[in-house]
Amino acid sequence: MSFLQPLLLLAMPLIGLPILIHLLNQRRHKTAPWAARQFVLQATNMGRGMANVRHWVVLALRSLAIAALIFAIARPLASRIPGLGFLGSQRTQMIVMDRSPSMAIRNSSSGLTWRESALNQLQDHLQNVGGQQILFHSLTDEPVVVGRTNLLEMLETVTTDTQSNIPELIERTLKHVSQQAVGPADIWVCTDHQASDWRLDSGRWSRIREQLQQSPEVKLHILTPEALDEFNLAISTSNVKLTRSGDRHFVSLDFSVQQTSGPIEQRTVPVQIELAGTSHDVEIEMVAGDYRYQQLKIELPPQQASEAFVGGGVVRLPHDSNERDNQYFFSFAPQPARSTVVVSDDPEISELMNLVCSTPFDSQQKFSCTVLPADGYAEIDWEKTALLVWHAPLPSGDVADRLQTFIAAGGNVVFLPVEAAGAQPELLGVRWGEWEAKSVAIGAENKPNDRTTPILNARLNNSEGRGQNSAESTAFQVAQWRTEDDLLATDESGRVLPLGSIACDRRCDIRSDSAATLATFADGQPLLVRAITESGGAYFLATTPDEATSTFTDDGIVLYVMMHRAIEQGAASLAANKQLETGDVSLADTERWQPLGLNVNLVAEDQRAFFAGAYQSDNQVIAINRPVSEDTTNSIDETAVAEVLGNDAFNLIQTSADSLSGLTNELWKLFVIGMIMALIAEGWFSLPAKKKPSVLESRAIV
Amino acid sequence: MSKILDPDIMSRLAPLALNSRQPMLGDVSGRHRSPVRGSSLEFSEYRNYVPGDDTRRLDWRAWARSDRYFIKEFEADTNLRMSIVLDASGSMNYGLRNPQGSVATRLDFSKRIAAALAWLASEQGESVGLSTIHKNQPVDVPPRRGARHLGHILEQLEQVNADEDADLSTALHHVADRLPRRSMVVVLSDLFMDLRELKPAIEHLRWRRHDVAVFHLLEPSELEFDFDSPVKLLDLEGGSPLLADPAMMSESYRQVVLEYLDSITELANRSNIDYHRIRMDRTYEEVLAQFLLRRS
Repeated sequence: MSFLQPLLLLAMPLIGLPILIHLLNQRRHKTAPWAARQFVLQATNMGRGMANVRHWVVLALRSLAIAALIFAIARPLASRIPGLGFLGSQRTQMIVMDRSPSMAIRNSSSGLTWRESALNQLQDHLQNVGGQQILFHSLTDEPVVVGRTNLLEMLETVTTDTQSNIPELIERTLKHVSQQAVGPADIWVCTDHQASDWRLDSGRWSRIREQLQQSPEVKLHILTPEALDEFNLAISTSNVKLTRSGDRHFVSLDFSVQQTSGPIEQRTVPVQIELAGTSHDVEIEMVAGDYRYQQLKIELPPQQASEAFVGGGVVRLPHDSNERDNQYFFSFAPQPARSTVVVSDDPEISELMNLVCSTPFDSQQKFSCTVLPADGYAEIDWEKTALLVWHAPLPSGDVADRLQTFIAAGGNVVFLPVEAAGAQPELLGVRWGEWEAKSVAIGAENKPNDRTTPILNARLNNSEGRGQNSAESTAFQVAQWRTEDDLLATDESGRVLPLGSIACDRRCDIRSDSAATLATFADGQPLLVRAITESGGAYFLATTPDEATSTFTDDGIVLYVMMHRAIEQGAASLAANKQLETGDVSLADTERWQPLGLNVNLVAEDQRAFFAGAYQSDNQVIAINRPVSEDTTNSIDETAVAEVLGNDAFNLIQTSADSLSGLTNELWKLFVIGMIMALIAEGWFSLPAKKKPSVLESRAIV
Repeated sequence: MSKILDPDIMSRLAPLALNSRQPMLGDVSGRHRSPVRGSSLEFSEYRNYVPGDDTRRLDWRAWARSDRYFIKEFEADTNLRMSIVLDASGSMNYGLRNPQGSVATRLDFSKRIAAALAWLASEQGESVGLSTIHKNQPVDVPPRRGARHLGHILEQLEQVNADEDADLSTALHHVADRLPRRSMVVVLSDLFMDLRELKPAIEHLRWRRHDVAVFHLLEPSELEFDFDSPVKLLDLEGGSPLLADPAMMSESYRQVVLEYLDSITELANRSNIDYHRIRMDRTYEEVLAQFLLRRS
């Protein structure tokens, strides 16, 4: 229990007032001469029974009434959440706001979104406890001091299309508490339990746990909704292309509709596609929870039918419980040529890479490859190159600067090691080490490395791979690689690249403290790393694909897929259309954006990076959307939170989305009732006893 | 006439006779029956002559008729010896302030009754004595007749003051022993004492065949304890003060008083004494008139 006016509790000693008055009253007695002393003495001895008890009960009831009055005017609060701990105005209230789209799910019975419901309850609580209130949210690093504005009306609490990073927000809040010496504080995390926002694999959780243990005066409260079974669909698009059939031009796209909540049943769902000023309706029959429409072709109007047409569109779903995932913007533009430049002095590698990169991956695209000697980089057409294969010593100076500019613009570079004398320069935090010949203890090394990070999925050699490797048992064997994304990801049907069949007779040590490892050998040495860059891609392969060094060319599929994924990524940066996710865009980039007129709601210029929309900038069309991971139904439970935070480190407050009752209740009415009851009882006990006949009446006295 | 005697009241009480409830042994003839046969005019009975009888009391007419000797006996009337025992302990100083502003104490009330009884008895030719009970210089005047003696008694009464505690039971034992048998003992007291001590004293008086009359003088406020706030009670007999809260003890006080009164009533009934429980808010004229009428 806590109090809104705790200072009034200082009046609690007043409960001794009745006893004090009683004692004073006894001291202020009058004096009278008395003859019948013997009766007084006998009566006093007799009166130590029930009359005494009754008298003290009356005094106790008076004290109780005063105590109840003091409690009532001190405005006691009780949390309806067990274990909420002490609340008081001296505690700073920190609000961590999850602004992800999933917070916009609306309860059909109350008409409130989870965000509105949570903030209503929190607002009620904060009004009760007072104290300074500071808001943290994912769109800015700076905390926002909450004034008298209702939390619901603050722009900083509005749901966006961005994904939240809950551990980052909590860590930032704890850092603020520590740096600003806030003192006792309550951290209120308003969030749903979507796994993509909670990022349980984040390394921040261990630090958060330590900080909470070191700051016992900081209490972490997680407001989370009870599971809702409201019907909701989410839509997204992919593979948006301009295609041509004869003289007719089409926009081809895939879209998928995913049911994120609600009972699954067969239903017809109308999908609206708005494109090039026209609207198209498609009805889909949903049987299971997912529906994927592939290669929906929409013909462009004759006046816009051109191979050079650049534009955008949006797919929309009808109204359901969450409006934020009912639309998805897309953009399209003529696809640039998939141009690759190979810089190498090794004829075998040059020829091999030329073959891999110029072999079409998609028959509708143009693939080309240019081979240049190591000193021929000046001939590179940077503006039209999607991928650069750099099989030469790492550059320095102007060449290195130009390479980094190319990468920053979205281009991809795959670096291959070369035999070079002397120390190699460092580029993007990575440099080549020493070459190493094949190992002599392959059998012992052909095991998963315990030191590998959990983000690398262990992929032990399959039986086919082992059969092949048995003949090369002394080679460096690839043991683990990252399959979630990037160059070595599984394909759309979930098949894993056969990287386990790759073995190397020679490899070059990759030295970097910051690069992300995408594949490792059995001994933990990296095979492929990606340097940390804001955009584009810089990959370092620890071996070369020539036959004398590795078995990349034996099957060829791994090398082919790797290179063409790199080409596609690089080509995307050359295209006149951009398909972005909120959170991937800097605010500076959005200043030049002009709306394409597809947005239903106007979005302020400084908010464009956080809301879905379609824009035009110079000759580019940009579609920006929520991360698709927000559409997943994966959610975490209390056990998962307890695993990363510890059982006692947080207080999970699960509240109903259709409830408007606050987190705390004022109890003063109960105390007023208690006071009245005590006074009534006091009055009853103080009533004079039933009048007995007086001595004069009951005994004959003349 | 003494200051404590009101002539008007005494003139109204004078027609009422002071009678004894049992035969008395006086020193002169009087109006009260005597346990011995005497020479009064009222015939009592005949009895056979036995040698040694006074031959003057032989009924010669009866001898002439029956040739037998009979002695003719008559009732013997005598006066009474009345001893007034006045409790002068400190508790007798209790009294309430009357509307005139003066305090009428229990002792004053008792003195007026004692004086009135002494005057009435003296007027009837009875012997009157006085014993006052208090620690300092107790008065002990034996019963005698005559106006001078009455004046002496009244003078003694006027001078009596109540102080501290006094031992009523011891005084009563002393009176019982000192007085000749078959006297009248009038006790004026509040009887605030241990009844276990009072009982043998009363029985002692009765064993001596005294006609015992007790005036038990009580102030109504003493019986009800009607205070409305805590009060510090000063003991009139020199004891330590007592702090009493009526809210805590008035009920039990009444209960104690009732038990006390019932015990005294039982004692009076068993001892066959003339017990009068007197409220001090009444006039002593009423009290005496009722006392005298009950004995007529």
